Amino acid sequence: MSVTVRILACGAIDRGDDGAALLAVRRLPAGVRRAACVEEVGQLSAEHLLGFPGSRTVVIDCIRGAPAGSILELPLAELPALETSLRVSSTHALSAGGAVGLAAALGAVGPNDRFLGIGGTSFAVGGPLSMAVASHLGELVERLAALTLEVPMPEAAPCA
Amino acid sequence: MAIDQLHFEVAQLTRVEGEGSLDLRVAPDGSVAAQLRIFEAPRYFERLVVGRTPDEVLDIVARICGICPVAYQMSAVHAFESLFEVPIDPAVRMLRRLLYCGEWIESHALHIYLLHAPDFLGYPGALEMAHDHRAVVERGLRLKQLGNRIVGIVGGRAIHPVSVRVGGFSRAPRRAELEPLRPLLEAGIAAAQETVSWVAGLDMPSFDREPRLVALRHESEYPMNDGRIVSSDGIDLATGDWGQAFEEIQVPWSNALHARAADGVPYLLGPTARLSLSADQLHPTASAALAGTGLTPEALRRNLFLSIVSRAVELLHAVAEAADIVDRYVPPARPAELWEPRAGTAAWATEAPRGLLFHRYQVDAAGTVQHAQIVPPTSQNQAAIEHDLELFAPAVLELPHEEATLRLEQLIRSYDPCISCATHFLQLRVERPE
Repeated sequence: MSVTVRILACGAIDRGDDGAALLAVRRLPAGVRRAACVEEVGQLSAEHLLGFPGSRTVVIDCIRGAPAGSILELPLAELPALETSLRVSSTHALSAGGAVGLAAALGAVGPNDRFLGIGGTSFAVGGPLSMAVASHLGELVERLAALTLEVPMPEAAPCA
Repeated sequence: MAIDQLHFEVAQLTRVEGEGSLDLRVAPDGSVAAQLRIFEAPRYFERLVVGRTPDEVLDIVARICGICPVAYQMSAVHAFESLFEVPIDPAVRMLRRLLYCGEWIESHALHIYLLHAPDFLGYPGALEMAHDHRAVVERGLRLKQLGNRIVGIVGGRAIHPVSVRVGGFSRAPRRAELEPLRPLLEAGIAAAQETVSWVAGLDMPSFDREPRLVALRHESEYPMNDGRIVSSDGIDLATGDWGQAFEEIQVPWSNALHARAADGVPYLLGPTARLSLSADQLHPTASAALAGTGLTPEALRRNLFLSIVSRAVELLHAVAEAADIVDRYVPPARPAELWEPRAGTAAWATEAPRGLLFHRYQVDAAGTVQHAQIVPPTSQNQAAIEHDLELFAPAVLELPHEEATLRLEQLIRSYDPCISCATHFLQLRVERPE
């Protein structure tokens, strides 16, 4: 399969709103999925962003600290700044923004790369999606599809 | 230098896994007192597994650590299989070594490149280092990715794998599933060889002392899942008998239990201990790379800052051994053996990336856990960290305060401490008025 868009879906399916990104990629129409290389990465690491020869990488995740159900789209390179503004930090693995920052320092984040997020509020183990996230999940899928399909396909790239 | 009292404080240790601080005081008489204060909240895993079946325990203990979940599964599964006398297919045994190699690769690459190397090159972190050493950081990330790929294929997913079961695996990969690893492992061997040469060339602080070393040792392979618990001064125990020579104690400044030998002398676990006690079992590729550095196991043993070299040699060992296993892999006839529970004590130790990890479970006739003891390597290394800080501190007292503090932090990071692993339990004592 040859594609120009890679989607990296983050989160844990069994932790309420944290599974929103994974649910979104699973609900992508078949035609959209064929146009993208979809990886459910769980926790984003810098190495996930290395070595993709296509035109766009989309990182999709749930955002703690943003209004529940709100959908946010921004250049991927701006994710570290978003985390700073939301006071997101980690004493363990690199946060998603930290991973993006490291990848950017290695030249692996391009101007076409995007972050797509949805504000979450409920992250209990085994818990369901919050009402706010559940009611905006369809919109999240549509935005993800649009980000995938708007990229022209001048040259094919392998789905590694 | 005349001193009143010097106080070095690192309020929040960075580039370690978890939350801790350092408090080091130098008294007017020159005596030094160091406390590694681990304030990360206790996580109660030893209580969480009570009432659970062995296979449930394997999934629960994997959650103790996102860096070394395989180690927790390996110590637990071998403990149960030892008690239940489950025969293990040699192919399953090799598959478990491959899984462990994946974890060692991921964990060692993470520590060498992202956590420890910035100390030697004068950067506050990997991100700043990446601007000037792009190819180096990319090499580290590729190695880390290789480790995660192995764990993902054998363990079902890269972080918190799910395939390990008492008796074997829930599913054994087909040979075709391992084939894509072969070119990645070949590239990985070259990258790990470069890693050994690179870290051996870093400017190392001097620090000479004689540590007591403890690790597993196996008669014919580099220690991971089997062997005997040995020390540099003569301890020699079966893997389940850790408690015969060691014990856990609580100190007021740490949410992680310390461990000590019966004589109270601190001991060092991890890559340096393993390499020193089992240098003769290294993969020939790793052995040659170590020889090429001009460093001996003796030199690595005496200067803890050289632990980054020991870790790099083990990284190469793990990649080379993983390649061998993939080349020879034949799937087991069935992924897991059947087993019957029995009442008793299940105990075993394996070699986590950071050192010896001991598990002990008391189970009833149905196999249900009644009591658990999990002794992670960082918990055991705490006393050695504090002891080394006290030995090393006089060498940095003449330095500017900030630089001295940085050197002390660098020493702590040489242990690759995983505080999140260490705070799995806290003994709670409630004193009530009469």
